Amino acid sequence: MKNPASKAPQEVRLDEVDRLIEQVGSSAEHALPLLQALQERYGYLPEVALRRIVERTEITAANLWSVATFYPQLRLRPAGRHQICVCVGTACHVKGAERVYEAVQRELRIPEGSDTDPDGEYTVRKVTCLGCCTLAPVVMVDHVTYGHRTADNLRAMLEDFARHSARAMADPLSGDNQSDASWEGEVRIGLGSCCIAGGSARVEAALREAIQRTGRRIRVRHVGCVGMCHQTPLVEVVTSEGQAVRYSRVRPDDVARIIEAHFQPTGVRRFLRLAEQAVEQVLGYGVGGDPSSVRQLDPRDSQVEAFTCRQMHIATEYCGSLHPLDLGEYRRHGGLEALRQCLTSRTFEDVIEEIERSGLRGRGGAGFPTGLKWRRVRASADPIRYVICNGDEGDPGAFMDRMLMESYPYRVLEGLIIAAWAVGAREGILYIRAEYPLALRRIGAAIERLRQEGWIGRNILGTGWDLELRIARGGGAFVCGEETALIASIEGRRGSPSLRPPYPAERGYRGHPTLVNNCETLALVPWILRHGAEAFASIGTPHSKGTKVFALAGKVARGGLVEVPMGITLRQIVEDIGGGAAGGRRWKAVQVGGPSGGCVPESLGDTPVDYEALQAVGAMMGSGGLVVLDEADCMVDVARYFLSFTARESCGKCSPCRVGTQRMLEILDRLCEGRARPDDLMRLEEIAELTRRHSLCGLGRTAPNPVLTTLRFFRSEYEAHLQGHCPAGRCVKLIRYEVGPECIGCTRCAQVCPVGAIPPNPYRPHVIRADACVRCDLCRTSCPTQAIRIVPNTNASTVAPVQPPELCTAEVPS
Amino acid sequence: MKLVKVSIDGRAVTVAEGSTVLDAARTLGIEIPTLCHRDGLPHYTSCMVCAVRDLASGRWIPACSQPVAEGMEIEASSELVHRARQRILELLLSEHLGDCEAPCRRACPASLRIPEMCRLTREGRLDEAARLVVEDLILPVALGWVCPAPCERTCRRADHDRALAIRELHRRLGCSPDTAAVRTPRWPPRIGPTVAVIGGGPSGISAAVALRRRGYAVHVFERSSRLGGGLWASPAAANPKFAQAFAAELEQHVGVEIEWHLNTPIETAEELNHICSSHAATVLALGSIEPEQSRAWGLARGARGLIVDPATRQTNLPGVFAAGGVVQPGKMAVRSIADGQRVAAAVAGYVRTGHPTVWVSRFDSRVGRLEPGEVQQWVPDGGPDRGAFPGEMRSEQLDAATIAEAARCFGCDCRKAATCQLRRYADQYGADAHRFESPTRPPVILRRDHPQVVYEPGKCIRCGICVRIAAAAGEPLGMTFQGRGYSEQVAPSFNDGLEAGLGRVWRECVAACPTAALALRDRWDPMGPDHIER
Repeated sequence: MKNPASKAPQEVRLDEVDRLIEQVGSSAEHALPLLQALQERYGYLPEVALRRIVERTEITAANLWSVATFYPQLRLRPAGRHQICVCVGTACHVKGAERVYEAVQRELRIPEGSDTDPDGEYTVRKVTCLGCCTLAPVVMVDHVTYGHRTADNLRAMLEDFARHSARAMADPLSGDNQSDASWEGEVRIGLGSCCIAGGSARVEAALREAIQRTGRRIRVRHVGCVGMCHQTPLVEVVTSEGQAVRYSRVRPDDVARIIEAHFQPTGVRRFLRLAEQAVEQVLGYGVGGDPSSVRQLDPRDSQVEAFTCRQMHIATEYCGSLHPLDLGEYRRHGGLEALRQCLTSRTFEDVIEEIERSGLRGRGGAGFPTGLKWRRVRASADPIRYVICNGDEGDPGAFMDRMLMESYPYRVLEGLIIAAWAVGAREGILYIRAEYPLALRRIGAAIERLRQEGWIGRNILGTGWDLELRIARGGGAFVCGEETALIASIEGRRGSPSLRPPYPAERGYRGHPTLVNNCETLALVPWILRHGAEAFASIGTPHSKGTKVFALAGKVARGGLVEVPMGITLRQIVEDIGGGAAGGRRWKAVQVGGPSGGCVPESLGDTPVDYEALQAVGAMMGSGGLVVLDEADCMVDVARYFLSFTARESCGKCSPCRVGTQRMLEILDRLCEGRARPDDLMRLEEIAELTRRHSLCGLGRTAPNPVLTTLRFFRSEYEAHLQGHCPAGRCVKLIRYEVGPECIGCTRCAQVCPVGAIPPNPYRPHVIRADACVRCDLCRTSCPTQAIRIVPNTNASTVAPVQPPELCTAEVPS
Repeated sequence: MKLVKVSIDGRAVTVAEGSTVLDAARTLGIEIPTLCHRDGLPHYTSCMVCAVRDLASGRWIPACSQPVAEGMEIEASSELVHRARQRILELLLSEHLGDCEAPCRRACPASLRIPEMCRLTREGRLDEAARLVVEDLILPVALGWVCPAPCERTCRRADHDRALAIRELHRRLGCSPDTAAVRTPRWPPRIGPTVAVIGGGPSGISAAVALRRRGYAVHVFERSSRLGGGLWASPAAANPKFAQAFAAELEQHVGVEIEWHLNTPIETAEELNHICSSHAATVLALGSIEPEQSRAWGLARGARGLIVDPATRQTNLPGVFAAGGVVQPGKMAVRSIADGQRVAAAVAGYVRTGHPTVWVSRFDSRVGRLEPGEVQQWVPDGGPDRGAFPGEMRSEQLDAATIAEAARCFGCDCRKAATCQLRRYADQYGADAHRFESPTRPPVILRRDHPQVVYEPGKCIRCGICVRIAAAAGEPLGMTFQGRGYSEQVAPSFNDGLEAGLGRVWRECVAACPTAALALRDRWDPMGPDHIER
């Protein structure tokens, strides 16, 4: 489609394209990287450049075109100067991402059918998941991530972006931490993507300034993800006496007070400060500040204790205290020890056997025994073998792989190197989502560091074994998490799966045996080898051993990244660790495993985290997203959300998935719009069964799970929709807004209404014009007297008000 | 070479390692449907209609690409498998956009092969066209006078300028002196026993002729002194030219081949019993029947007419069948003609095996109502409109104007209606195109950017056979998959012209395409029957 609004396309110079080809490579495998390079250069894929690539490389026209049109990240028409990505991951969806998306389009006056504003400034698109689920809803403008977006704080976001748009995307992470005994104390700041999106980079700048003012020798240390994403940005102060105090939701204005509180000159003022602090702690306030902005987290605080006490850190070992890229520190904490032992004193047979004994199973979702996979690759007669780390975490609502790669890049790499050594591979690839820029940078930096230190490259530790590692950037296709699709993608083809057998372990990358392991699986390997298989196997259930990292998000009081022992129940995770549903509501279900998983109702909350137990209730371990749903969530809407995801992400190859997901989605759309036919539920079940049985790959085979589980556990909600009623008051076509007698005539709603559906009428009760209302929820959330209610969209005026959806808390980054 | 032993439907077979389940099934002569598979090309595994079940795991696997494994036990022909394939076909059909049969043929109760009639006429193959109309309509001239022409009301061309004058075309073909020679039928030898037809109206004539065509001797008993029955009730029949034309037309069917007994009313039960006992089967084609009469004959009668088995038109008396107005009073002669042909099929089966043949409509995908402007997609296939076709009933000439009128036909029936694999399997598995119907449909598109080929994306099942053929041939541009998910399309790379995309292998791609997504621009399959006799 032509987009007259966007800026005039830049002239494409062929010599420049040729230079890109020279830089990237010209074999058939370079199709995706070349396209990514073009897109980075021009903002889209100019056709003349594509034709040049066909001319100058081994890539065929058919392949290049099919790849260029496959990945959602790539675009064929010019885009605006800046990209706005509205995250529509699960957590964002349940917190109103659709409304945010519509509001962005309204705010930028984007014409219907276009994705770019008339000035060619911004191009808006939906993205699956930015992996900042605890800050939902999230919007990313170029490389700057903004959390907690609502329809009414978008302008602030755009203004903020315009002010700082000169700011280049840079990893604020500094180099290795210097170890020097002369420090008088340290301040730790978390720098995961969530923290950065929460504003930690600016907090850090303020920290450095404040420290400088004290004139004392205090170092600022960067650490990885702490896991308490609901509290970001987090700052931890460690004094020279070793006393540690953690502060949450720190704003740049708070920093000076925090620093002063801990590090200040001796004298009378010190006593005064301490007294002041004591009072504030009793009152539960932060240090001398605004109670809403900063809070001191005492580890003895029951909330913090609850969040941490049930956890067990293996993949996330030394969580919150390791500098992600400090190799020396990693080694001081036992890092690379397992690898060194493997290379110097162990046999691959012994290591594979140990992994088998540990009971480790793939953390990517299906739970295939890791040791067995390694053994199969090792057993191959083909001397050329490959290892691949699967970091293409595409599930909406999951971000553990992102966090592991960002915070523990050495651990992931150590696991990968051990795996490569054990199966006898000399080349390894890390396939990482392009939506994870920080993970890409840190893994890249960590590879370089390990190469400098001789852990990657030729003749590692003098053993004569060579290993090369490289990164392949994903193209934003969920289906590429499937191993055959992932390999196709690395080989420069469309990310379409192919039938297994042959399994990659027999014939994978370039036709050679290939080990594909998930990031988290690999991150567990060093610990297992250091502590022994028995230590790992002693954790968990008979068939699911060790720990699992979950991304806990949605309507939960304390969201974040948690690592828990297998066998813990879902209820323990949601209630004990997560503190139950936010705002004192009841949680209704927990969505486990993303689009492949299912919704487990609260009544089955005692289901343990175990591959088989989760499957028995129709869910799946998946890669580990846990999205908590409360009474304000409509289960039909949730099912529709996942189906719209899988239908969009289906590669389109096999007919049961391509057509089946679309047909299911159409039925769910009808249900959510109150147009469903009585036999639609039966038809829905039939298509679900068909898609589950006959699809080619895991995506299609598991795509019906969200539908089947919600049908099984929440059938009454489906039946209500058949009657045109949404019990949760969520489906916009089935609700309308009404002003109740509490209205004081303040005109606030009339001011915020983006479509003028509420005529201002000072000091008189207001009325919402149902025909104009777009159900953006802004009026209801801004009404000071809670006079605006959601009611079923029927003509009968006597219907009882339904439970309104949860209020989204608005937080504008300063 | 290592051998692997597997069993399919309980039958053991030994095949070379690396063979697929499909290969093994073929060795055993077990048929497994395939659409995306093509021998000699790499597997793609997309359509999934070759579904079979692995008994050990209960998993469904695609037979075309699943390699055999020692000891594998496969279920390939059970009711369960049949149903699974049916459902998968139904998913494919839910996004299949195209008409198997042209709307005009669908509207014609006698299923006249209208587009083919037009194509033959346009090509000057008038004899074949005339033979076709006589075959399908039995009385194309009489119907040319009296038929209300429901076909013309559905003509796609009506959306563009005016409907094709179908009725006038079949009338002229049926009476033109140019085609007189071929219209005299060559009857097959009489091999079967004799069948009685009571009533000489349109349904009786039709049943008699159709039975005679099948090789049975026929005795027709007509109470009045002339054949034609209800045809004479039409206002058009008042025209003296009608009597003349009808008489000439009947000539073709009268004679030693069919015994026409005029002035022979059959009234009493004894008379009926006599006829029944002296003939292998009896067809009641009376036009109408009074309740007393049916009671007297011991026939079950409903509110409107005799009660018959809808699939076979057999009455409650074994061996006694009914057709036309006697079952459902109606005015359309062509419906009675169609009914006579159907009953003939049932009777033929009854006489041969004791079981009446069941008449099942063939699978027929439908586009339905066109969106504004969509008709333009067909316009290049129809000749220009030269103004109103010269007045009807005046001419018996197949002149240039007649041929130009036939050339106006869009040919909106499917070019591969007889050879389409999807349609074949849809029939074989009894697929219902509406089970998973979508609320929306994409626009109808006939891509014509190739001098010989027309590409209909709506009929594409994304099997990628053309993509693979072009790739194997090293086509510089080639066909490819564009986009993904439900909106994935097969298209020439860079969405360049089809001519460049298909390159030198266009003929091979068209021949290999399992549906009519790729078809030759000017070639339609010879039209087959729109039903299956079982």
